[in-house]
Parts: sequence; C-alpha cells; structure tokens
Amino acid sequence: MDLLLLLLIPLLAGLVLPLLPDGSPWVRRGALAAALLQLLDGLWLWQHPPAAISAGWLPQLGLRLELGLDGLTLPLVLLAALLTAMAVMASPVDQSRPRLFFALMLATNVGLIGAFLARNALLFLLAYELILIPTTLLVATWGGERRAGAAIRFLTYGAVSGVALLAAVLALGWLQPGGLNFSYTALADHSLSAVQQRWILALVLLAFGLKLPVVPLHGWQPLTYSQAPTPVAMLMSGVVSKLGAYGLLRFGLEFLPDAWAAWSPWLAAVGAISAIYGALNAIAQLEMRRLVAYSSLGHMGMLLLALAAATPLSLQGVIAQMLAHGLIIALLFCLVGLIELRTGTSAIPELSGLLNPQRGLPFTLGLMLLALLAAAGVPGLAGFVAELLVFEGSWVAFPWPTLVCLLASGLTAVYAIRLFNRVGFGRLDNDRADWVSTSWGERAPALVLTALVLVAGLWPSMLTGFSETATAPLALRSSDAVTVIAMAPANLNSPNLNPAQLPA
Amino acid sequence: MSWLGTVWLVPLYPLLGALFSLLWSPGLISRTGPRPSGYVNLLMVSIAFGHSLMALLSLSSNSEAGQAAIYAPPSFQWTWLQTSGLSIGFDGLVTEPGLIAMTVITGLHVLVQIFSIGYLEMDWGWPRFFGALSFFEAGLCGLVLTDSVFFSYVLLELLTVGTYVIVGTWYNQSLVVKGARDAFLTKRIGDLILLAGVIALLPITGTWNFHGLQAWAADLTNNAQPLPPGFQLILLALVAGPMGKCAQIPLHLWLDEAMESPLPSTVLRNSVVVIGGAWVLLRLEPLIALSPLVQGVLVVVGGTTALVASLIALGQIDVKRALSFLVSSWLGLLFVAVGLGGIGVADHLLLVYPLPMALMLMAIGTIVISNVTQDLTQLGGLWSRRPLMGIAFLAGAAGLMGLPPFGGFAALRELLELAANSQLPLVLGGLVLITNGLLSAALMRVFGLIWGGRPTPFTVRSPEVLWLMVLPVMLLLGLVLHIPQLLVHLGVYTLSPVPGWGPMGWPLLLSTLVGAGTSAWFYLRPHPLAELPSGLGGLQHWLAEDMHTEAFYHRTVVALVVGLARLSAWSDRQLVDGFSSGTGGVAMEGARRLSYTTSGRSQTYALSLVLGVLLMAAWLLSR
Repeated sequence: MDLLLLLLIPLLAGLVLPLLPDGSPWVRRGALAAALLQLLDGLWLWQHPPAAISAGWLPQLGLRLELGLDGLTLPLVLLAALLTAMAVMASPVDQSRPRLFFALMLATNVGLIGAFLARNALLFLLAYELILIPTTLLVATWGGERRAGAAIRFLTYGAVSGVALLAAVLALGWLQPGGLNFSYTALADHSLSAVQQRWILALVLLAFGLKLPVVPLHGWQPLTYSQAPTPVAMLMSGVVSKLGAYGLLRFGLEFLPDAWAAWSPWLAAVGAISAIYGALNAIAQLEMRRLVAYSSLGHMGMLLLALAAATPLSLQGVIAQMLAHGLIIALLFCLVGLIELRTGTSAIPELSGLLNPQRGLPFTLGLMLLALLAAAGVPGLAGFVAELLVFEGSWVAFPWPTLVCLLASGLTAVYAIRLFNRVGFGRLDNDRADWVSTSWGERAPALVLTALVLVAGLWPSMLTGFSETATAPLALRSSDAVTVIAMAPANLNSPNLNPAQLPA
Repeated sequence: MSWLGTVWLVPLYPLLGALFSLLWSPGLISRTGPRPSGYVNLLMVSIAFGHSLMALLSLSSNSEAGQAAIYAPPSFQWTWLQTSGLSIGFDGLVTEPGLIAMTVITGLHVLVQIFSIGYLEMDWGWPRFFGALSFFEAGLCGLVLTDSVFFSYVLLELLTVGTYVIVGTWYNQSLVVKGARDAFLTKRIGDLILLAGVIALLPITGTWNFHGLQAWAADLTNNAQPLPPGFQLILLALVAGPMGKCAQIPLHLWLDEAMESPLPSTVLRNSVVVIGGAWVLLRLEPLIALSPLVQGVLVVVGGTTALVASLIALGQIDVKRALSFLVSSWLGLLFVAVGLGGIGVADHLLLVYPLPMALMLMAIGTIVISNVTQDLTQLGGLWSRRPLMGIAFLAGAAGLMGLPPFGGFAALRELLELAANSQLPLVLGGLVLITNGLLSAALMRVFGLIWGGRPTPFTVRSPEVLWLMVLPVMLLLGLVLHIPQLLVHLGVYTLSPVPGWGPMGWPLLLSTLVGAGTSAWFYLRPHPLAELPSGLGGLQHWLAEDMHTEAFYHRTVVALVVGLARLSAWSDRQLVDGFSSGTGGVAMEGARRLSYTTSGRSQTYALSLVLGVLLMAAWLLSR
C-alpha cells in the first residue's frame, strides 16, 4: 500500500487539479504539494522499506501489477519526485493554461514512478509509453517557436523506442520456458541462447539508446530540449532520460548478461564517442539550451561506458552519474530559463557581463558558475564524484575508452568556461541592462539544486549510499585491483618513517 | 587538545572566512559596504597563522612531543567516500616539513592580506578578492596536510578554479577575461593528465597514500622486480600535474596570463601556489626514482624551462611578466634537482624560494600602485624617491641569486654540486651556472630599469604609499634577510664561514657576479648598449612575445579543438539533424496519407475495433 501511495498521490492530484477554477493559484500550489508529498513518502519508504506488491491484472497477457522498491530504483524515485517539485517551482506563477500544464506534469511523474517501481516488464512498458504522451503535449503546447517540429520529432523517436521495447519485451516474455511471464524475477533467470539474447539486446539498445540518448540516436534531443519550456526541459533531461540508463541496466545488464558482456567493448566505444562528440558539439553551440543539451549527451556517453564496464565500482558510478547528472542538468536548465526570462534571450553572443553586481544578474550567474563547474567535473561538486567512480571503475575494463572520456571531461571545461566567459564576464551591454533582479521565489529551485550538488560533492554517500547492495550482484566483471583499500593506516604510524624523505 | 592535535583546523579557518565573504555578495549585506569582508578574512587567516605557528613551536620546543611527532607524526582520518571496495580518505599527516610550509603559507597570507587592504583601497571587489585569497590558503594548507595523492589532485584542481575566479574578478577588461580562460584551461590540461595518472595508479599500487607508494616503490627496488608495464606512462602523467602548476614549458602559459589579476594575488600565486605543484612533485619522488626515463624527462623539461624562461624574462617590458617567467625558471631548476635524484637539494630550493619572491613582488606592487604603470620602459630613477622599496627589492633579488651569505646561495650551490656529479657534468653544470647568471641579470635589469636611470614623466612624482603596504614589506624584508639564520637554526645548514659554503662555491659566485654585474652596468645608468642593435631587436621581440607560444597554441591545440567542434557540429546538422527532419517529414506524409483512409463512418471504426478484439481473443484462446 505504501508503494501505491507513491503513484496515487500524483495521480489523484493530476485528476483533481483540472477541476479547480481556472486561474486559481491553488493549481500550482496543489501540484507542488503533491510532488513534495510524494518526495516525503519516498524518504519515508527509504527508512521503512515497503513490501513488494503483486496482484493479478490481466493474467492472460502476463500483465500483473507487480511493484517494488530496491536500491536501484529508490534513488531514481527520489530524484523523480524532487525534480518534479523543482520543475513545478520553476514554472512561472502566471503559467498559461495552468490546469492542463500541471496535470500533464503530474501525468509524466506518474509514468516515471510507475516505470521505476514496476517489477513486470509489461507494466514497465505501459508506464514507459505513458510518459511519451504528456511530454509531447507539453512540448507541443508550451514550447518555443519551433515547438511543433520538436514535438513531432520527439514523438517519432519516442515511438520507435517504444516499438523496439515492445518487441524486446514480448520476445522476453514469449521465450520464457514456463509460459508467458513478464515478471522481472522470471526474466532475470531465463535460459535464452546466445543468439536470442543478442537479438533482444539489439532491440533493447535501440529502445534505450534513443531515450538516453547516445550518438547517433540523439537527433531529437537538442531540438526538443531547446524548445521545451524550462520546467519540462528540467524534468525531461533530469529524469526521463535516466529511464534510458535504468532500462539498459535492467533489461540489458540484468536480463541479458551474456550478450551484454559480448558486446560491451562496442558499447564502451560508443559511450566514449558519445562523450567526445557531445562535448565537441557543445563547444560549437551559440545557444545556451542547445549547449546544455549536447553537454547532457556527453555525460550520457560516460554513463554508457560505465554500464559497459560493469564492474561493481563502475555500476556505482552509473547510479552516481544518474543522480549527479539529473541534479546538475536540471539546475543548468533552470538557470538558463531564469536568464532567458530576464534578458529575453538565450543566445550566447547577445549576452555579456551578467555577473555585474549592480545591474546584471549576479546571483543567478554565481549559481551558474557552480553548475558549470559541476558539469565540468570539478572536485567538491557532485559531478566529480560520479565521474571519478565511472573512470576508476571503467579503467580496469576499458582503459582506452576511459582515456577518451577523460579527454571529453577536459573538453567539458572548455565549453563551460567559454560559456561563462562570454555570458558572465565582460562588459555589460548598457542599453539593455535594466533587468529586475530575480526574486527569491524564482531562485528557490536553483538554490535547492545547488545545495544538493554541493552536499553530494562533499558527502558522496548521498549518491552511492542507496544502491551498493543492489548494484553489486549485477556486476559482470570484478574490479579486483581496485578493492585494495586505498587507505593504508598501518603505514602511518610505522616507526621507519624517515622525515628526511619528506619535502620541507 | 594540543595545538598539534588540532592542526586540521588550520585549513578550515580561512575556508570559513571565504564562506563569510559570500555574505557580502550582491543582494545580501550591502549597508556596511564591502570592507568588513576583508577584515573578517584577515582575522581568519591571522588565526590560522597563530595556530600553525603555535603548533610548529610546540613541535620544536617540547622536545618529547617533538621527537614523538617527528617519528610518529600525528595523523587524522576523514573518509570521504566508501563504496564497492573503494575507500578514499583524506589521511591527514602532520609532519614537521608540513608545519613549516603551513606556517610560511599562513604567514605570507596575513602579510599579503594586510597589503591588499592598502592596495585595493579604492576597489569595490573586496568580498570576491579576499574570499578567493582565503580559499587559496585553505587549499594550500590542505595540500601540505594530506598524505593522499588523490586529495593532492583534488586540491590542485581547486586551486586552478580559485585562479580562474580571482583572475576573472576584474572582468570588465577583455584581457583579464582572456587571461582567466587561458589560465584555467592550461592548468586544467595538467590537472586532467594528473587525474588520469592517479586513476591508473590505484589498480597497480593499491594505495593512494604517499607513504604507501614509498613503501611500494621500496618493495619493488628491494626485490629487484621490473616496473609494471605502462608504469612509466603513468609516472609521466603524474608529473604533468606539477608541471602545469609550476608553469614548466610547455604548460607555462597560464602564469603569464594570470598576471592580469590584481597584484596581491600575484604575490601569493608566484610565491606559494606554484610551490604547491613542487610539493606534490617532491612527494612523488620515490616513484620517479624508479624510472630513469621519467627522471630524464624532468631534467630536460626543467633544464629547458630554467634556461629559456630566464631568457624570456630578460626580454619582458611588463614588470609582472618579467618576474613571472623567473618563477618558471627557478622552478625549472627544482625540476632538474628532482630529476637528478637530489631530493634534499630540491627541498632546499623549495625552502628558500617563497619569501624572497613575495618580497620582490610586494615591493614592485607599491611602485605600480603609485606610478600607475607596470611598463618597465616608463619607469626609472626611483632610487632617490623610493629607496626603501629599492632596498626591499634588492634583498629579495639577493635571496634568489647565488650570492652568499643570502638565502638562495646554499641551495644553488648544492644543485651545482649535484649537477657536477651527474652523468653530464659539463652540460648540467653549465646549465645551472648560465641559468643563475641569467636570473641574476634579469633581476638586476628589473631593479635598474625601475630604480636606476633618470626619472621619467611617470616617476617624477612618486610618493610613498599607505603604511598598510609598507609595513608588510618591511616585515618581510627582515624575514628574508634572516632566512640563512633560520635555516642554520633549523639545522638545515651549518655556519662555516657563511651558511652553506662548500665545493663549487666560487664558480657559482662568479656566475652571479658576471650576470648581475653586466646587467647593472647596462641598466643602472642609461647605457647606449642597453638598447639592442636593430639586428638583435628581433630577438628581443621574439623573447618578449614568449617565443610566440600563445600563437603556437592557437595554431595547434586550439585550432584542432575548434576544427573538431565545427566538424562535429556540421555533421550533426547535416547528418543527424537532416535524418531526423527526414523521418519527421516521412511521418507527417504518412499521417497525411493515412488520413485519407478515414471515411468518417462510425460503423467502419466499430468494425475494425471488433475485428481487433476478435483476433486478440482468438490468439489468447489458441494458446
């Protein structure tokens, strides 16, 4: 029942909100309350692990209402709830057509939570497809100038992804020896032949590669992220894309380990190429939203590398990267949205000197610097923890792709600094600089996300603590060499320490 | 709770100060003006200095605790991350050298922050500036306390970020912004290569602790085992971090670019921040000693930098740049010492360096602020007007030349001795002598061009500056002159007849006298030959332009990255985007065609529904 509450809160809120009178401030407040309530419920469930739910639904189809929460999904559920709340906070107070907008946001949330909680592949598929509808509508209705094209493209790619996943799920279910069964427990110990596994894995890779996305399946991403309204971009880049990573972890690594192991060198290579390609493209962008979109592509490449390496450490890196990237990318979109709201543009060449303490947007840009440094993997911030785990975990398995990803991490700094130098530093354009400074209400989501990015950098257990026991059994390779404890306290007090050997 | 046991607090004081500065960011505290942020930071760094000084004194005065601390240094643990068998801790280790370094760092920060209050009297960027200075101090104190190569990387990277912020603070000038960018990216290259090395190191050695690594290296040597494959590459990667931090060729660009920031931050950067890189290098020495190849690379890199950077310094007309290339040059000598396996010599080079360099830069600062120019060709004739600062500069310069009885002589002499006993005595010994001569010449040139010669329009009126700037300079002057005594007191050198005299003393002294003397002859009074003949003018120009290194980078690395970025952006537009809009078009066309199949008759829809349900039922039943 506890688990159902996670789903029911946004579902009920989404159904009730449209009944409120148009223009009522309670629509936005209600949506925020629902998301926060869900977050609280998630935190409660973290401390009090709930029992899994299993109930029949359409037994003939193999569809059962199987829900569960483990270390893999708990952090993602919390992330989804948190980012939904932040996205609602980041939406303007005078949001146009608020009832529909917030209902669709909550519908997206229901789909996300459903997909994360599902313990049945068919149920996962349903939730996965459900997300596509509200997100497309959100982009198509409230997006930028090219919203129609963006929505169509997003829908097309999403549909292909859905069809591929459908085929994969059906194949997994049908090929069960014990009859039609889509339950995760059944799928995890199947006895598929190597060839069967590979065919299914190809479909799974197509489905989730489109969602993540990775090169060259990312065609929808820059356009969609640049056209989506800020809250929707936060939610899509922060959580919806993580569904791709989660799907690869669950369907690829867990259900099809042999095929995954066989193809992992190629996957690592694709990950490295995505990382470098995303970073290079981000350098060439002249528009902040597109820059952030390509930066996301690059980080997803690193995630794929860690998934391919599949050592215990790199899988911890996967979880950490999902959470860190979710927080950072949502923060970046939130800040870009704020800048856009004030200055009316997100074109990099049109902006300069926004850090100016008198007439610029110093607060927003200060947070922007932190967010960009976090994206660039500077120590002390969340992004570094994730990248460190990814690199250290993947190094023993795939040294060359790891090196390429390190290079990509260096290029990340290039576009981060390039963006900040142009937008933050330099002279303020005196003719245009008469902006009202941002209010605390507008800053709130960015502040919360910044705080979390900082805390996660200083206290990385926040990113890794949930999931260690859940990821360890999934590992395909051992990271033996790394398991040697990095601390050697025994050496510290040894009497043969020669002070002359230390630098003065 | 002794001073020694709570030494881990020292980096936290300035960090707290830096955090306090945030309160004066725009929109929070504005009534008081920005100045209280500076006072708060000065207070915090003073507390840090007091604490580390007390800790150092308690180490050397209380013989029992001191002895215990030397052989079993107090340690403290802080586990940062623990997951899947990987455990990363801060592993603080309070050693005597660490305490000395920390006292020097915190002491210099106190002096420089006092100096800054005078220097930035008219500025409005106090919170950011003082906050960043304290952030530097926190990072450096952390660096000397940690025993982990991983945290050394983390702290070096944070110092890189600190440089970016502090340089970029004066962002209204385009040169400053460019300087901030170049400084960040150049150092980031070194840092990232270091990170790659750090990551690759762990699976091989199983530890990130310097002492663990030392034990591992000793184990390898004692058992006469071969180096693990690829280990030399890892070592080279590890060395790249210090190379970037110490501004060694080819990663030297940033120090010169970072000169755009206000002078007090230059003082700290050139005296203690660069030393952070050297510190890490020295701690890696046990590993470096395993590989003659890496040692050779260090000698070549350090030697080239020492020689070339001192030549470049001779060609500069910007006084800050002239001194910044001397930093690279001096640290190049340190790299040579490490490459030759002379860890003790490198130690001494590191010990005597920070204070004289800080003193010279602070003296220069008082000139720059009151004469509003840092162009050497516009200065001159200040000896009659600003003798105090002239003496201070000379004391600093003497401390870095091989001139007995001043501080730098002993270390340079040891280096010369080391070089003379190496495999290439003539080449390396010559290198040390020539570099020392050039260094002396470059220092005397700066002195001559500022204090010698005739007054220029810029220097006709040159009042002494605010006491807040003069006082720290004078204090530091006293300290610099006492470095030899302090070193003798600490037992580094013996007093016979001047500190550190020994073999090779005469040649070194001779090279100093030749270099400094020639330079003094040219520059103390305007000499016709000081203007190079036109044929050689090109050479000076080439050196003044840092041998066109920046243009070289623009044509190679930058051009490559920009080209690749453009190429991938083009391919993304043409291929991926084109394909996507193609599919979009097909989908729309398909939808349009499909729309013709609808007739509008609800019977047809109902029929298709029924058919679908029937088919599904048939399939279910057939199973």
